[in-house]
Amino acid sequence: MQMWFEAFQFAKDPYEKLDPYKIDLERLVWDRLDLKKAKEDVDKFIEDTVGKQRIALKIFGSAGSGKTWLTRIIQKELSEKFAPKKEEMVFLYTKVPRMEPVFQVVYRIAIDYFLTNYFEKLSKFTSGTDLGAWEKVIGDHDLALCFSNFSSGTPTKKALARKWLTGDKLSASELSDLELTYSLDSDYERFEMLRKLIEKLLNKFSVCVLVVDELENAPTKLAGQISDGLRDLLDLFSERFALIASFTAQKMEEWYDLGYTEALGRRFDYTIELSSLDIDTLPEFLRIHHKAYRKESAKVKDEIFPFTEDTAKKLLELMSPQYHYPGYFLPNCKDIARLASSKREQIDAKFVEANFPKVSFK
Amino acid sequence: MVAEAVYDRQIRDVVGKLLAYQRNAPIHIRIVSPIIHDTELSDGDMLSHKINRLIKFKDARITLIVNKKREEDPKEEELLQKLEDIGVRVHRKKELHVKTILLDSRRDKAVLVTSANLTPTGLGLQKEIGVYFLNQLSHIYEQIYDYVTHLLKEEA
Repeated sequence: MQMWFEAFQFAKDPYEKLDPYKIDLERLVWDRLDLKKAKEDVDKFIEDTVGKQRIALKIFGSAGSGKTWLTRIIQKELSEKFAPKKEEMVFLYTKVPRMEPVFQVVYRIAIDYFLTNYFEKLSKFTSGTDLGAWEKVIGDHDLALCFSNFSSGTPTKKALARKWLTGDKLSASELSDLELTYSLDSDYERFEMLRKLIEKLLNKFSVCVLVVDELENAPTKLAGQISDGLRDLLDLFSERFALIASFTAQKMEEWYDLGYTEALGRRFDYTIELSSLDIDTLPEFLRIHHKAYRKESAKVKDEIFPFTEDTAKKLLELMSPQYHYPGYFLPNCKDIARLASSKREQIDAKFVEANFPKVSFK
Repeated sequence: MVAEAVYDRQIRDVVGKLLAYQRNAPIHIRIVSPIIHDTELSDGDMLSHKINRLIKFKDARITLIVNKKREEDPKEEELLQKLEDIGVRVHRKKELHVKTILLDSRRDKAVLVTSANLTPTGLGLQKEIGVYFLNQLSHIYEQIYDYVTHLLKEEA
């Protein structure tokens, strides 16, 4: 069965609302030509990170403005810069989830991201999977025990090792199975473990980048704790450590409303605001975005197809200014394009106007 | 556009109007009141209900700055906890005597500077005075906004 987007010669749905960390890196491209200053700052941040400095970047903007997308773009560009040097970076992503905004969950997401994306790479540095081999690589007895259980133990031991490292409380018998003597059951211990993990990973990886996303979800008290923790990390690592913090806000000053401190705020080297889509560069935005999703065999005269410059602009003009961000504009493009897919023709302004009541974000 | 002096119960009317803001998100309201009690506003609705509705239905971001000394008042602490639970960012600052409300949305910028605390006595019984601007004197709005940012930056 043909999918609706294939009618327009796309290999994948270009408008699908996905977590940017679930989008293939090849489909992520810098399409915000209107954000010239932001691009300059991103380039400088990348240059400083590749140059192994200690560097910090703050990103803010409205909901749907592309903050998480930008962190993923940075991940992609950093990977591309490190690859020819035959160097590896470790990129740890975490966020403050709206559902359960507590440090334990922020910590768990970071550890899970590490185990899923970097544990295998770390394993390549070991000569075996026993405790001794891991101790040589990681230089810490408890972490080596955990990693040894995670890499060579039974499925039960692997699950227990994950449970221990992600900061869940373990029973005495579970701890004894792992030959460990304590659980990471306070936020202080979890933070110390994160710090230790980064420190040890830097023995094997060139650079560590820590992303803390959705900071706006933290209650004031947690915001204060996160501020102190991130400030300590920035002070501890004088090189080869990069921090990216992102939060939803209209103004940079909302950083303080959220409860984050001046002491941390002062330590950021770059601040990027993701502003709304600019109507003049909108056609180019859509062209670049479409191109990343188009079938290789596609033959289209203009990558903006099935829209035209006028219809793309028309759609944005009809939308309320609060929605003039990629996170709302692209789903609206989908609503219109899906409706037009049976005709397989270019979408005209009349069609946009007639079907605008059916889009998700008015 | 409004720029007016407000007195006594008129202050309560303005507070009620600001907390019943109807336009769409993004809405950001900064409330600075050394003392705060759950107070009935002009339309009979309670202050905490209005704030709750703004957060729930308008996705507003609400910042509240109170005097740190008031931590000793269990009734006030209970209200602050209730407000924190619904998503208000509560900050406690030392030696606070400022009373102001700032509303910032895509369409409007409003500020109320007053002598009244957000309490039944402040908004109903005592002699109080204030000034209220809506989309007027933007440079003064910015100065007050910056001052409140400065308050937020200070250590608790």
